Formats: sequence, structure tokens, C-alpha cells
Amino acid sequence: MAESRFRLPRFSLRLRLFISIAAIVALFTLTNITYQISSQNRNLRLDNLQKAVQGQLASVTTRQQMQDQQKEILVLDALKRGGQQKLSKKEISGALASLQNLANRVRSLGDYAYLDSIEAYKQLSTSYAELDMLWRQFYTGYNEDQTPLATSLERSFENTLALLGAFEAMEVQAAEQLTAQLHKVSRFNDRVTMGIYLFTIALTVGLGYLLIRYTTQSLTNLNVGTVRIGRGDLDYHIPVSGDDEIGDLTIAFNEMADKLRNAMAQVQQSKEKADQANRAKTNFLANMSHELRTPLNAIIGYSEMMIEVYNEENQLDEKQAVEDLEHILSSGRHLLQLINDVLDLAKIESGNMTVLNETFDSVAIIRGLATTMLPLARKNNNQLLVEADENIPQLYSDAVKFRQIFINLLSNACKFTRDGKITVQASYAAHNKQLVYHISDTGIGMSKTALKNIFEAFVQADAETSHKYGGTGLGLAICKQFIELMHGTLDVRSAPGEGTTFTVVLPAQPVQPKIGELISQDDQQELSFVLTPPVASDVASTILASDTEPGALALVALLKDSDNDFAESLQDHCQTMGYSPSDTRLQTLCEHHRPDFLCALLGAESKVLFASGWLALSRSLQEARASELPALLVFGESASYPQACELAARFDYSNRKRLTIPVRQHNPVARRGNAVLIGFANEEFHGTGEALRNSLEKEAWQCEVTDSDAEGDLSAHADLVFFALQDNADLLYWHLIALREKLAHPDSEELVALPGIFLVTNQNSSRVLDSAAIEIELTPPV
Amino acid sequence: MSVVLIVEDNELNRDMLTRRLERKDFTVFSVGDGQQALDFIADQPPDIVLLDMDLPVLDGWSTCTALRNQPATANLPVIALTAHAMSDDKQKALDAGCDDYTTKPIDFPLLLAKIEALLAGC
Repeated sequence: MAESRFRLPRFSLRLRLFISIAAIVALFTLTNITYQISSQNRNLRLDNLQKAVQGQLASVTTRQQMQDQQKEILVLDALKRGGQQKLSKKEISGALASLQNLANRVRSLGDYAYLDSIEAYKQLSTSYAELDMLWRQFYTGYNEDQTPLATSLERSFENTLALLGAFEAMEVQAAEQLTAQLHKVSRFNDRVTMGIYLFTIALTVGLGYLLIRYTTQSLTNLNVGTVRIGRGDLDYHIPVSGDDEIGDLTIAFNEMADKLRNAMAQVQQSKEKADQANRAKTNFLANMSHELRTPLNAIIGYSEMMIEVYNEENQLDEKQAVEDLEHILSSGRHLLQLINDVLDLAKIESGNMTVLNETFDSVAIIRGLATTMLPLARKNNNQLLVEADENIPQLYSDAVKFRQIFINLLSNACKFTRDGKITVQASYAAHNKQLVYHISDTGIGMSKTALKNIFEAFVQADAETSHKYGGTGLGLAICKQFIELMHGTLDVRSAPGEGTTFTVVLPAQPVQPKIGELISQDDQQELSFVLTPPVASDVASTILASDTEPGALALVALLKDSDNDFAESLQDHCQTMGYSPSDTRLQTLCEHHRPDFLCALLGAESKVLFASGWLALSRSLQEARASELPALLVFGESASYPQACELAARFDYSNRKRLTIPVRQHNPVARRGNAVLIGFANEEFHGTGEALRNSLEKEAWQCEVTDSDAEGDLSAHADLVFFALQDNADLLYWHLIALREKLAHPDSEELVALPGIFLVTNQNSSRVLDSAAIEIELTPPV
Repeated sequence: MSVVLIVEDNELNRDMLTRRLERKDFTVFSVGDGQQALDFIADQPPDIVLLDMDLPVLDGWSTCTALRNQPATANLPVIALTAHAMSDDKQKALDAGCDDYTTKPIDFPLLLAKIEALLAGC
């Protein structure tokens, strides 16, 4: 805790080097300072010593001269007493000058005096002054016999000499003391200097060693680690040596290894997936071959035998022949079933399986099936019961697939049950609007391991059951896929000997829009450019969530192509329709109507076409106002989902909702109601309008033909609107504006079911568009 | 005439092959799985066995191995009949001890030739 709160500064390599150098520099400076101080100290003491020695020398010289002087005086005194010899003036002045010289010399001794010897010097000085005076009196009074008494001279001299001796002794003592001190200081200085010097060396070596060792260790760790990681040992984690640059590098390496490891794992995973898929494919092919050969064996065998018999006997036993033909037929049917199943599976896998939704009574279908399958149930002496709650609503889903699923599940239950009971229970879960069906039997059941693969193709619990009970081994796989296409779930619960329960859950409400129902497609595969308002009810909310406000306008482009010739002509038309960077029409449309979302039906091969079209569109919109790019909604088969994603990514739609919705194929408008044809009165479109109207009326549509519907009153209540697109798009524009207004201010709370709008144009006398407009197939789905 | 035992679980195929062989004057017996085949052979050894590989209870490969492991039937001619048409399937059948191998749909003249060749070799 404390550590994290008071975090020390990072002890980085640079900091470490800096500290080391700073320490060394500081020590070096200290050494220098010490040396300077000690040197100064020594010099001072040396000067003092010199002074003391000089003082000593001077005092010795002085003593010598004093003694000479005294001797001279003693000689002169003796001479005087014996021979009355007089001194010349010159001799007297010479003696006095000599005395002056001596006095100077004594005075100069004061320069060498010390604190200790200053007292001695003062006494000496006083005593000498007295002596000097006596000596001077002696010389000046020599010729007049007024010399001082030899005894007093003697006494003064002795006294002065003694004091000089004392001074001298003191000087000697001082010199000795100084010498001793000098030695001491000198030794001390040497020691200190040497100590610091040694310490500096030790510190430098130590720091250098630590630094090198630490760095080397870190680098060695890093080196070992990188080599190991380089060899592919991506699990290796380099020990992080510290919070420094090398530590950072180590962490970066470890992270790199982690990322590499993850990437490798992903690659490995995808490889395993691919391998698995490949194995599954091979297995599927092997199984397929096996499954196809078995009925073929019977077909070929019986046929050959019949021909053989006929060739040999020129006739056939009728009863036997019919029986054999029945065998051939049943094998043929089995083969057909197998092929259909396989095709269904292939279709589902390639995303080409389409769901045709309608509203139907699921319980009625189940009851019908139960009746049809009663013989099969009775064959194994089984009871077949249907129990349905009363509140079960109608189901909006694919009735054909629903039947197929229940035929499959029920026949399975009949096959694997003997002398038992098969029950279908239907109920409605109101809280999540789901229809729940339980298909239970009291049959042989399945083990846990068998349950695991039950929904895979060609898997039956084991080879034995397959032979005993028949079946293609594809039924459950197909059921599962169908139910998923229908946005439901299929689950199974079973135990050996305790029967099996399959649970089918299907959403009662439609989960997808009926936009697909607006597409017209005939064998010529035409292009239609369709504008449609959003499906107002729950669809908009489901698909676009919060992206779209009510009344949002959608621009829907529908393309379907498959062969190259068609793709080429399509490309031409797209260019004339605004799907090219050079054309501005789509752009103009977008700018005028400002669609809130763009819908596109993406065919498997229309990628290029779309790319150029959307690119132009998004470019122009982006240039205008980037934030107002409409949401992109791609409708298509699930196979084109990656393309849709790619497209969306290219146009930076990544954060927007995008999804594919299976679109109904070969299904024209399913509902019957009112159709309004607008703008077909002029010459250009008259024929088309008539043809359209005829075909609509043939299919029991109420048709109204009008020139203009600018108010939108008529078309707002229509189920289907056909626009003839004139040279200018004014009509369309105004109509859409009117529709928008209406939607923006709804009269009631009720959601308005909006009509599908077809845009009919024969610009450039286009073959494709002409046919698109005229040959819209309005046959109901089978 | 030679006695043929057909071991085949598919009813139609069993019926068809039985009748076709009977027309060629073979005495034909048929059973539906490997265990029945072993029981039948122990009781009433045929001259040749036509053995399907995908069989309930005891599959063709195990049946053939069992036959080869018994001295009495070690040399009994066995032709494998199978819908498995991959090349290693054939090897698998031969490894199990089958004398010959033919894939479904059966080329009947070829099967007859193989039967005759094996019977002649006995």
C-alpha cells in the first residue's frame, strides 16, 4: 500500500549511470579539497618551523657577537687599568656603530618571537637595552675614566646572555614542537587522502560491477528469452529484472510473445477447424456414396433380373413382376429422398435455402400429420396422440418446412418405438411469444454419446440402428437447420430405454420483414429499382433498433444476377440508374429524400456492382454531410453476409447495425389488396400500365390507375404502388414527401402498414427493365 | 449344386440376390446378420459365403475374422459385398480374410465369375 502511494522515482538505467558518475565526481572533488586543505596546513606549519629555526640561528649568532663584544670590553678594561691607553675617536665611533649593529640584531630577534617566547624576548630586550647602555657608557667614558664598574657590566652581560639562552631554548622547543606537529599533520593528511582515494576506487569498482552485472544479467535473460521465443517456445516468459529500460524491453518482448502465441493459437484453431471440416466432408462423401449405392443395388439388380427372366422365358410372371417393380420403385424413392435431403442440406449450407413465411394453424397441421402417419405408428403397434393447449395462436413461419420437420420427427419416433406411445404436446409461452412443441416417444432412446452427434449428417446412433430402422441419417440434421432458419430451436432429451423427447420452439411473431415479398423475379432475372417505405411495424424496430425514427425513409436497391451476360447488362443499367461514379441520379435521389437507411439486396455476384454504386453514393453523401450517412441495411442470402460486412466496413458503417435477412425467392407479392398505378397515362408507359393492370387483376388485385397522387391519399392506403418513372423524378419526389408527412404526423396511434412501391422505368428502352416492369409474376407461393 | 450363403441385412437386396442365384441353379440360404451367419455356418457349412460388410449385431469384417479363426471354416470361400467403394475399404475387407471383394451395385456376371473361380479353386 505505502509503496504504491509513495512511489519511488523509477530507478532506470540512465538514473543509475547518472548516480554512479555523480558519486565518482563528488568523491574526486572531496579528494582534491582535502589535498588542498592539508597542503595549505602543511605549508603554514613549514613556514613557522622555518621561522623558528631562523630565530634559533639568529640568537646563536647574536650570542656569539655579544660574547665577542664582552671580550673586547674586558680586554679594553684590562688595558686601561694597566697602561692608560686611550681610544681614538675613530675607534670609539667604530665601537658604537658595532654596538648599534648588535642592538639591531637583538631587535631583529623579535621577528622570530612566538606567543610563548614573546615574554622571553621582552625580558631579553629590556636586559639588552640596559647592557647596551652600559656598553655605550663604557666606550664614551673610556678616555675620561668614567667607565661603569666592570662588575656591573659583567652582571648585566651575564643576565642578558642568560635571557638570550632562555629565548633560544624556547625557539628550539618551538621548532621541535612544530616539527612534531608537521609530522603528525602530514601523516594525518596522507591517511585521509589515501582513505578517500581508496574509497573512491572501491566505490567506482563496486558501482561499475553492480551496473555491469545487473545490466549483463538483464541482457542475458533477455537474450536467452528472445532466443527461446525465436525458436518457437512462445509459452516462455522472460523474467522481468526491474523497472528500467531493459525491464520495459523485456515486458515488450513478453507481450509480443503473448500476442504471437494468441495469433498462433488462432491460426492453429482455424487450421483444426478447416481440417475438421475437410474430414467431415470426406466422411460425408464416403457416407453419401454408401447410402446411394445401397438402393441403387436393388434397382439395378431387380431390373437386370427382370430383363434376364424376360429374355430367357419371353414372358414375366405378372404378380412377381409387379412386386419387383414395387421394389425398384421404393428403392428409387428412397434414393430420391436421399438426394432431396442432401440437396436441402447443401442449400442450407450455401445459404440458398429460403424461408417462405405465412400465417398458419400449426396444431391443425400436426393433427393432419398425425392422421397421415397413423399407419406408420400402428405398424409398430404404437399409439399416436396430439395434445394441444387451447390458447395456441397462429404461427407466422414457413409451413412447408414446419410440415417437413414434424414428418421427420414423428416418423423417427414411430420407427424407434415399439408397442409404445408417441405424444405431441403443443403449448404457447405467452411471456416470450413462443410456440413450444414436445415430441416424445417411449422408444429405445439414445445414449449420451449418441446424443452428441445426433444433429450431424449421416449420423445415426450406430450402424445397427440404421439397418434396423432405415432412414437416410439426414433427417435430424435438416430439421435442426430448418428450425434455425425459422429462428427457432431444436433440443433433445433422451436416455437409453427411456424414450426420447424432441422439443421444438418457434417464435410466434414474425422476426423478419416482408420486404423480400416485394421483389419480383422471373426466369429472365430482371433488375428492378424499388423504393419502399420502411415496414412500419415491428420490423423497423427490430432491424434498426433506435437508429430509425418512425417515418424513416428507406431507399432500397435490389439486384439479382447470376450469369455473366446478365451481369454485364446489369452493369450498364446500373450506370444509367446511378450506380456509377459518373452518374448523379442516385445521388440526387438520396440528396432529395435524405433516406434514413439504405437497403440493398445483395446477390452472390453483384458485389462489384454494389461496390461502385455504394462508393459513389457514400462519397457524395460523405462530402455533403458525413454525419448524415444513412444506415446501411443489406438484405441477402446468408452467403453474401461477408460481402455485406466488407461493403459496410468500406463505407465506415462498422458501428451501424447491419444484417442479412433471408429473402424469399420466386415469391411475388403474397398479399392481395389494392394496387395503385401512378403515372402510366402517358404514351410511353401506357402499354406497360395496361399489361401490369391486367396481370394484377388476373390475380384478384384491385387496381386504380392515376396520373398523379401528389397528396399521397390514395397510395397511403394501397398495398402496392407502381410508379412509372418519367424523365424527371418529380412525381416520385412529391409522393415520397407526402408519404413522409403522413408518417410524421400519424392520425392515430395505430401503425400504418405502408405499401410496397415499385418503380417502373424503361429508360434507354432497356430490355431488362422493360421486362421487369411488365412481367412481374404475381402467382402466390406454392 | 453348390450351396451359397448370403449374409445381407437389406431385405430387398437379399431377396434379389437369392432369386438371381437360384436362377443360376445355386442352392441359396440367407441370413440377416453376422451372428446368424456364424451360427448357420457352424450348423450347415455352405460352399461359399457372400458377406455384406455393414451388418447389425456382428459386422462383416468381424464375421470374416471369426470364420478364419476356426479351423473348420478357415478356408471357406468368402466374397465381401459392400457399398463402401473407397479403395481402402477393399483392402480392409481383404485384410479381414475375405477371398474377394465386389462393390454394390453388383455386377452380377462378374460376381458369378468370382463365385465360380473360388468354387473351382476349392
